[in-house]
Amino acid sequence: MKATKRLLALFLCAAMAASAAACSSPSGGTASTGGGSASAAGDGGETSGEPVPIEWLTTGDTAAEPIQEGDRIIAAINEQLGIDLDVQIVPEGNTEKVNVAMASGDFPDVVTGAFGTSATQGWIDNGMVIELNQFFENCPDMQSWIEKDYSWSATDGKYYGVPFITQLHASNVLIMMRGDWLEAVGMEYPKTLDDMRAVLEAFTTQDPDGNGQNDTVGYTADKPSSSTGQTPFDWVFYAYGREYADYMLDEDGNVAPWFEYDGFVPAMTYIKDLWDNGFVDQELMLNDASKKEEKFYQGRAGAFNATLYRHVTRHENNVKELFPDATVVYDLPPVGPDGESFGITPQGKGGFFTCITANCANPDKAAEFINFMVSEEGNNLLRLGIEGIHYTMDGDTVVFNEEERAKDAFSPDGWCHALAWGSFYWPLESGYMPDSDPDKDRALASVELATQAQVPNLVNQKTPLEIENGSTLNDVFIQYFSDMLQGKIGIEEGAQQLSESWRSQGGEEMLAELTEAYNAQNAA
Amino acid sequence: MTIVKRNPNRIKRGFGSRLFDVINIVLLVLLALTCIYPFWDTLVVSFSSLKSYLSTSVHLWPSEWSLEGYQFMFSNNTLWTSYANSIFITVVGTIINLLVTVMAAYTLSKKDLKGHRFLTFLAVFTMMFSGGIIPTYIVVKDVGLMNSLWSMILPTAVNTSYLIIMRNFLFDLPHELEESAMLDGCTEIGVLFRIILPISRPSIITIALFYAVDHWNDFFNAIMYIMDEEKWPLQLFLRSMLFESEASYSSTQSLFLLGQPMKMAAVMMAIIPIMLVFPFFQKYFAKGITAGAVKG
Repeated sequence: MKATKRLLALFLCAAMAASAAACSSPSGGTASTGGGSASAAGDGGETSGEPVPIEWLTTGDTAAEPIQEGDRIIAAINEQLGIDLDVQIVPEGNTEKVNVAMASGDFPDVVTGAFGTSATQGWIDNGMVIELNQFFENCPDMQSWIEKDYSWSATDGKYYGVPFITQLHASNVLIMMRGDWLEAVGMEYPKTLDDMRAVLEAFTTQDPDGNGQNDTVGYTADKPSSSTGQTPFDWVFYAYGREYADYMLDEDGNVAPWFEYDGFVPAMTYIKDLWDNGFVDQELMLNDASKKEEKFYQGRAGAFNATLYRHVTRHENNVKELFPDATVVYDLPPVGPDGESFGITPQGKGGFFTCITANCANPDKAAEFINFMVSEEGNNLLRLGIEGIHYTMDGDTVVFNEEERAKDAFSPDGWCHALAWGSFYWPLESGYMPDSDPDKDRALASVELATQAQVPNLVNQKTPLEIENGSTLNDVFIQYFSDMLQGKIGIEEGAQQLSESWRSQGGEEMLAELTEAYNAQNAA
Repeated sequence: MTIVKRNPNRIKRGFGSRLFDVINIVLLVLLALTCIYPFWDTLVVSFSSLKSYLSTSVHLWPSEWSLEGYQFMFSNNTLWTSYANSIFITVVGTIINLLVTVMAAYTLSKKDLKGHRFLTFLAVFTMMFSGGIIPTYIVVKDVGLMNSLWSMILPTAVNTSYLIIMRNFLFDLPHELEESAMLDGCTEIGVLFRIILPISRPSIITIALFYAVDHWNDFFNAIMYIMDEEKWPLQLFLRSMLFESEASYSSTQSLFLLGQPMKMAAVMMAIIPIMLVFPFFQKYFAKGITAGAVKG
């Protein structure tokens, strides 16, 4: 007993000592802060006058390398703009932390929150952020960024932030299939819904893996999402003529729920046929993304709605873990009865919103900073680094100096600086991959292909009621979708009841607001 | 040859009674397995190669051992800093929790303290109506605790539920104990530390364990108040590692491909240290949990 006590006491002492040592290590202020002054750059020069402190609170790229004191990229930005940048990246990209900080009056100079949320709308409504139009004359890159893609985001003609909507003009989802299974059943990647049905049937019934067992299914996917309203069979709905990803316009030009379009009943009939015949995974309504992928990797399903880009290699390698001769293929989703309608993913509506706060002592410098971040010069600095230090040019080829890059907050293997991604860009939308990645061309080509199957939204921005009630109404849809699929209710009757139930549970008010937003958007 | 004599006093059990026992045991074993299996699955997957993980949906034993997940975790220097931070928060936090809780509970348990019911009500009131996130954030900021490990210790120095449990336990102790100690010349503080605390050991240890687990698993306060990566507790670091492996465009290809075994290795690393503490305190547990449960 005494020995146990001693051991415990020793352990606790050691733990305390280790903790104390760790806590007393010099951190130099906030670790997420570059804080490096221009003079820390090594080759940096002095700017005229005192550098203006700019504090930027952002969700950023939380998976990036930490920015250390004396980071030469931060120093270069400081030198270029005459500022002293203090970047605070919120752990986990947690927007709640940003919202709480703002709500408590703890204003940074520049803040990045989630676009299209009640919180960021509150910043505008409560005068917590300032309008940016006044800086356009000196900030042409910021102006063109906003006016090119986000002119509709103005409030009474004024812009209060720089939006970055993810996957606005880029997508990375298509239906991936086992290429070796297609060969085994003597078929090609399906072009039409009829072809797709035939392939999924063959995958289910013709023992494509040749193991002599009836243990495969045609298609798997993840369950419908309450937050986005996406279903595992959106490609069917789009093939049957669903025009927009979010809503539709009725005969009077009002916004209406998308499932009131003419193709809904035939699309559901097609889906139910797949379901009833067992050509699709019967656990599909329970799958999460990792479960769906696991079934594909394990050879239990021959096709699934896959994220592409860098993931193509991951999917391929994971399938080859168990089936070394397996191949994977993907292409545009099948077209519908009209021979031309197809689609699979919606255009994005959410993302980031970078603003200058009302407490900012030097908004001109803050605007200059944002302008730099969306400029080509800023992009090159954050993606490539400083020429001669982080990279050199060999003709047109960029040659990275990984040793030097590792001294600053660059990720290895040609990936970018910690500030490159998150608030204004992601690689997917930017079409970026380092030359060092052996699968670069395939990854970028997959995005180009998938983007062709991206479907636009009718209304660009979420409305307040949509933010508040959207997921509840999505749940109403999912419940009826599930009941129709499992035969608990007839499809025509279900479609009718779905429409009535959806509208009566808050949908009608939301549609009125959306119609107003749609009209305002068109007027702008 | 040994002759075994039947005990004549033993009650003969009928078939129904035995059948009941068998069904009971089977059901309880199944119930136990449903609790144990997720943990076992996590452990097995954490030591499996990706191929071994994918080869079956039920993981009873790794068909191909791999330490890749753990190797990756251990290769990161920030892991050890995070461990140290979590240990500091847990050990120091729990000591402070116990000091404050025990002293407050002892005070509230005093029947002759004027207004002790009102003071108890004030404590209970905070269980129903707390300040909320934003006021708490403002307080933490204004007292200068932002980006400090103390922001994960001081705002949670007392948990009202544990305070009430402790107060009720102390309330049940015979008043004569204190009186005799006082007659022997003990002060109030002396009574608390020399008489009351030694006989309250089961309750204190149980509450200490609750507090320790709360501190070890604390994630939300870290996100709210800690910005400096060197001050991240283990939970935040592990979540960040998982996030990086899943979503980062900045991670290396090999990390990107490690998959589920690495995630499970991270889970094991998060739960094993605190699980190791349980056996030491197990004997006090049942007694401690029921302490103070009767009287209000």
